[in-house]
Amino acid sequence: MVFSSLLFLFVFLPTVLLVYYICPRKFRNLFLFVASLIFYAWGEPIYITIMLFSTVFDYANGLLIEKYKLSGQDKKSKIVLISSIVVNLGILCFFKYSNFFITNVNSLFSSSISLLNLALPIGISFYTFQTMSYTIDVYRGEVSAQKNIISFGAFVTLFPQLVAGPIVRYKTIADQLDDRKESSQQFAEGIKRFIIGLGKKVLLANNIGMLWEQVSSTPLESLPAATAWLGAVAFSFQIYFDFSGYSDMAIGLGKMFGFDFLENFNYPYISKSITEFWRRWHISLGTWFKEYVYIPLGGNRGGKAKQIRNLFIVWALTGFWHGANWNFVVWGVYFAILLIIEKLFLLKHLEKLPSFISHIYTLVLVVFSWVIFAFDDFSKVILYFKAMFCANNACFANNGTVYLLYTNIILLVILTIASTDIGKKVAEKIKQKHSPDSMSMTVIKNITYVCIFLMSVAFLVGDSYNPFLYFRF
Amino acid sequence: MKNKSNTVTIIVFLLLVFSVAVLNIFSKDKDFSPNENRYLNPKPQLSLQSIISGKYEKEFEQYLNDQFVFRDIWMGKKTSFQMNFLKKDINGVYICKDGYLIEKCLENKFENEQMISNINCINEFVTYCRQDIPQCNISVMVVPSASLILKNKMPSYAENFNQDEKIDNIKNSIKDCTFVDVRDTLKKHNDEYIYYKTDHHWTSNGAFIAYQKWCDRTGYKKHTKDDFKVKKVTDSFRGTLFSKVLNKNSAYDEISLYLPKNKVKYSVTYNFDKSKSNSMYDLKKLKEKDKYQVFFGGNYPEIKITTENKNDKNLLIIKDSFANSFIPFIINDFENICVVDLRYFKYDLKNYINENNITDVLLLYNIMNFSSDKNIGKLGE
Repeated sequence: MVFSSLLFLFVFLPTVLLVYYICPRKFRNLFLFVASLIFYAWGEPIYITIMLFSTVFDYANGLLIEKYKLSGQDKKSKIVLISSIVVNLGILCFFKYSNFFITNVNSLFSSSISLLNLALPIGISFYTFQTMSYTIDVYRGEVSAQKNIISFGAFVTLFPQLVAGPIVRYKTIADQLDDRKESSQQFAEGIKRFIIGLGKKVLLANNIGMLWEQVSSTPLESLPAATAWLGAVAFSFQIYFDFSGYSDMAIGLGKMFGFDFLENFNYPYISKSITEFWRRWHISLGTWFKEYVYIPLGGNRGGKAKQIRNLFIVWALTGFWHGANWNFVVWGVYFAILLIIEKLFLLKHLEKLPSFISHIYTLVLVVFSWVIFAFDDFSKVILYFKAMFCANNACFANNGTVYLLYTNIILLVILTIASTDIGKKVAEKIKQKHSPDSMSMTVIKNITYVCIFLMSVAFLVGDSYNPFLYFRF
Repeated sequence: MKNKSNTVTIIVFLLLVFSVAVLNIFSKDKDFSPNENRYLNPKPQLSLQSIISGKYEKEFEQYLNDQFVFRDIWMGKKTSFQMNFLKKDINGVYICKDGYLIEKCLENKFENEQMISNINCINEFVTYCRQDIPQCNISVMVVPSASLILKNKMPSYAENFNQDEKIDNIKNSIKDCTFVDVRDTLKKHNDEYIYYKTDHHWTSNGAFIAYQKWCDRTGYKKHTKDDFKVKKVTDSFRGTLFSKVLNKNSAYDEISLYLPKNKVKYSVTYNFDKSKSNSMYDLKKLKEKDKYQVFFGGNYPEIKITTENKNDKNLLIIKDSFANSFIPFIINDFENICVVDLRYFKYDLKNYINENNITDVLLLYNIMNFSSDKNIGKLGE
């Protein structure tokens, strides 16, 4: 199930909210666990078994690690940790990467091992990372093991962040799992955050996505440069508003049930360097790789050469995490190179430059990265870059370019403004001038949220609306 | 005070979500959506097996989407939002000047390969007819879409597939029969009402202009407008393209019938005599959503019009719905007119030709159907 569906908004969510708040406190985790399983099972009931296995397996691992640690058997506790990591990564690799490995082995040794073609279990990249963070943190002594399997199950399956993150580390919500106080303040914030996220996804990302869809489906050999740039910008907006919208909805839903997750995006497109960009983009993933890969590898201790090696490893893995295709690895390494160059010398110079130049520098490189990201087929990536630099047989711009630009111009302006923190700053200014809780502010704010919500529903209904032009029989 | 604002937010949100949820539960399910021209998904049957396979979940979601309360109103609102955002193509339809809606089909969505395969099948069919009926008059008419003829109405800079190139391609590849190219004559009249504003079909007027061109090219007797009484039967038609956008400010279309002043008696049988009528028009359809069905009541696998004319001329029309408003002009010129819609026709066509002593053949298709309809392949069999 996805949040941006009528099923979720008007069947699942109201039912779950109703039952959750009727439930006595001690049963709430159990109910969340069950509700999350239903959420997950919707459409892919079989894969629920992997998730239940993960839950039970890492619940046991956590307890064992802690037990051995407390009794001083460090070696045993390390073995349990390693088995936990191996199994989690094993599951992830098997379901996500087996086809990729087989294809590459086949083309390398011209063998013909048949593909498994497994459907990717939804959210597997997220929840395996979450359970690993749990066992590792227990091993490091940063949290104590969860004694209650229901609470642990609720952590692993928690539906708000199950499908697309943020990657919530166990230690972030350990206390909230066992003892949280839902409040009307938090609930209202959750609603607002959810609506903002829904609007980002349905009104902004989906609509600009149509532009990208049209551009990327034209034959790339005859794609005019200006259209290619427009398409790449559109895709950059789409991926940001889609992903951050989903994170907003997750954070908002978390709040409705009394959880506070960490932020996942912080206006990445206002960054003035790639280093800054990655501090603002998909923060929970960056943090995960930093804490569980980069620092254990030695981080920046041990000299420049080692640091560069570590950055390469971390970013190749980060890329590969995004998908089982070479273009994602290239995408990761692309960022590794940029980050290393910035670390070595560029960052100092960037800081001295006028900010609009460092902005443009960052945005252009980010847009290039999304082109690499967008196509599974690497030959298409190359064709697309050729189009962007007029290195194909097409003209610079044609009627189609003008059409796409003027029919999307308002949307593009809104997307640009919404990518920056201007809105936030204006809101703060208004807050200083007027009392934020005056009658008129309450009315205006609530009407805005209602409008965003209703417009989103209209677009969701529209998506399911597909008339047959011709005839029925 | 802070609490008050929060309370309002919570109450409004819960009220919205719960009231829509409750309305959905209690609103009556519909079988058919006239606007979408399709049957809506009913509530799926619950069974353990269908739950485990995921089938139930999928069908339940389709059911919920299809039966969502005020579905058409939401859809109309969505269109207005998009139009306010300067969007000119919505749900595959260009919002054009003067209230016209025109189907969007970009070059890369155009089915070139199917078109070429269809051309080959038609050529095979023509060869067969020539052997079987040496004196047969065979003509092919490909009706252009509004996007070509009404180019002046299209939104500025809007693109569509290269229709001229496609029709040229067909014209040059179809062999051994008369290709009736109606582009120029329709373009010459493009300031007239020749396509519906809200439907993808041509108007009776548009069809009549093409009919005259057909007569010029084939040498059939040509009637003029004076031979007909033009009768407007509705001015509240909103067609298939309207259904795609549901914009409440859309125009309404008029439908006119061309009734011959010289009345020849005829009878119409549908589906190999399954039903019979003494009129080509089904005026009851004017009360329904798809009023274009006033012509012959819609599309049937087979229609036979038997007239009192005695001239031994029996015309076979292989067609899509564009022919439905074309046939009324030729009713006085043939003894029998046999109309076959390959999309639904399951009978052996060659037998059918022999049984009906066919002397003349007309293939009439709109370019969109011509290039996408796999059933034209039946002609090559």
